[in-house]
Amino acid sequence: MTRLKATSGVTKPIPFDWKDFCRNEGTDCVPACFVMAARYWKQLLPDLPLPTDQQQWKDFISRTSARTSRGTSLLRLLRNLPTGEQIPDIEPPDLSLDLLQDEAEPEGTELEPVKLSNLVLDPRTPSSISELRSPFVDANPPIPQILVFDKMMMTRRIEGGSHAVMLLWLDFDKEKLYVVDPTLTTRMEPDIYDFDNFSRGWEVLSNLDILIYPEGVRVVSGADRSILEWVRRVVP
Amino acid sequence: MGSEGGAMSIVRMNELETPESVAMKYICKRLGLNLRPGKAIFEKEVRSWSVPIKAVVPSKVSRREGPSKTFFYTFDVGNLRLDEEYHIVQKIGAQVLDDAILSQWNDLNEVIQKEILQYARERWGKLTFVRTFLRPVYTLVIAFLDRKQLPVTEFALDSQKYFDLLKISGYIEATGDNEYKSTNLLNGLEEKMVLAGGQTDFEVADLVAGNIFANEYDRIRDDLRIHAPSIYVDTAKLYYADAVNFKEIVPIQQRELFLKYRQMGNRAAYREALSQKGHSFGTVVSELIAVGLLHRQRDDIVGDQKLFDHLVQFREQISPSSELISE
Repeated sequence: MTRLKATSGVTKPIPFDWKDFCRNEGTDCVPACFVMAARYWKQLLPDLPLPTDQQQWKDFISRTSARTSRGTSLLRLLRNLPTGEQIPDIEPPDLSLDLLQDEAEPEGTELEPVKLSNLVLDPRTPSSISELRSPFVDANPPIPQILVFDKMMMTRRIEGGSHAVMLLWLDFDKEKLYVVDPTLTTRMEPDIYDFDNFSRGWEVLSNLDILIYPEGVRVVSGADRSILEWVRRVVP
Repeated sequence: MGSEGGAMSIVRMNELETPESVAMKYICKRLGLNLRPGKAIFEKEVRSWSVPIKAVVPSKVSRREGPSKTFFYTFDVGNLRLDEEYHIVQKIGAQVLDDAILSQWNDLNEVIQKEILQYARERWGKLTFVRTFLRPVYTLVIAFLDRKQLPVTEFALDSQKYFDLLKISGYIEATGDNEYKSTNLLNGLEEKMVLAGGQTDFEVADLVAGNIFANEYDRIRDDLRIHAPSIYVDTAKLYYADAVNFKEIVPIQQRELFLKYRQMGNRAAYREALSQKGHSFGTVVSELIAVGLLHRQRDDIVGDQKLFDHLVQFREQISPSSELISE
């Protein structure tokens, strides 16, 4: 098996369907990116218990978006996720009632991935952009990654808010990332960030990268990246 | 799912292994991505890492035409503690964070709140939740206008706090043990209003309750724990804070204003107010429009020009930490 050097080459893009994956996603970036990834997997793995109904996803975004000043957490995504079996509401969700309820977060400090309807949401903090390569080249089909960064820091070197985009592909030769920005999907083309600028905005959020994959993928890092794991990966 | 050969896919990823990166994963999973870790400090005495947590809260102001702006407000909201092996040993609860952010947001906008309260001091008393939740004030004012002097013992046990409110505001004074009489302020107000057009006692009570609400707002909310009327003040404050920072009376749709309240409004007030039958956020906005704090412009809601002109001088004091202009 030939491997590209981590610092050169171009990854194969995620087979991203602009028309299907990002309709009416709204502007709250994390839920919108999650919906893109969920639709991607639903198209590839139709048996996943995820809705196909457009309205259910829109309602999910409405419920999840801007619920508190803290922003979206993975556990909030979990709480609001519709399942494929649910009958879609005809009316949009009544957000005024939802505000009457406490948002109790489950207690705990563990950092294991969150599992939503057989999709795993796995927050990682890659040590550099080159570490984003493996989910493209070592998994088939490639794994969507949601990159969370400070866009203002990236563009203007001023601290701003957190923003999330979905990574489409990487060009290590040109040092560019190609991403889907959920606030700009009407353009139907990726946004392009250069490595250096992106890194400045990314490091503010400890290089946060949320991998979204179905069960059956193993992500190894740190001490787990042993020679044994490497052999398991390269020798089928 | 498997790789092309059918085996389990194994993704390899070198990760940052720092207190900040562990804190970031915790934030992502449990708290919310408007939060971020600051630089961790190792505290030798307790042999653990303290990671400061900062909130950067966005408030987007959209316009149908022309550029929109997103304001970012930055607040320090607490610390996570990690042991030497980066296990989280002291967390921050979501509710604690919500309260910390809300409290700092309110502190930042205190000047706006104070000015809004004073601007509408003669009108607050006409609003439903002020009338409902400060009803004993109305009852007492009407009784004092009628009888001039009253013993506390004639009223329910918990009435003392309302006597106190009237006393602090100068409308009544103590004449002996457990007895009060109306002051010249209250009597004069009654005469002035009668001369102005034959007002009823209830309208005098409206005016008194409005003044008390404006002057004793913090006491009513924090000591008497009457939250519901705060929904009016918070809704107006959310609109005007954005408008002042935008330097323009920006039209906003009711739903957008509701979403702002959902993010930064007083949740206790919302629950107390909206548990009243027949009320919704829409009726709250309609009442604010009825008393002239907001106006309707076709399908949008806009601010009051005179109030806006007054508030805009405080822009420096409430300005966000940064802003982003977008098309």
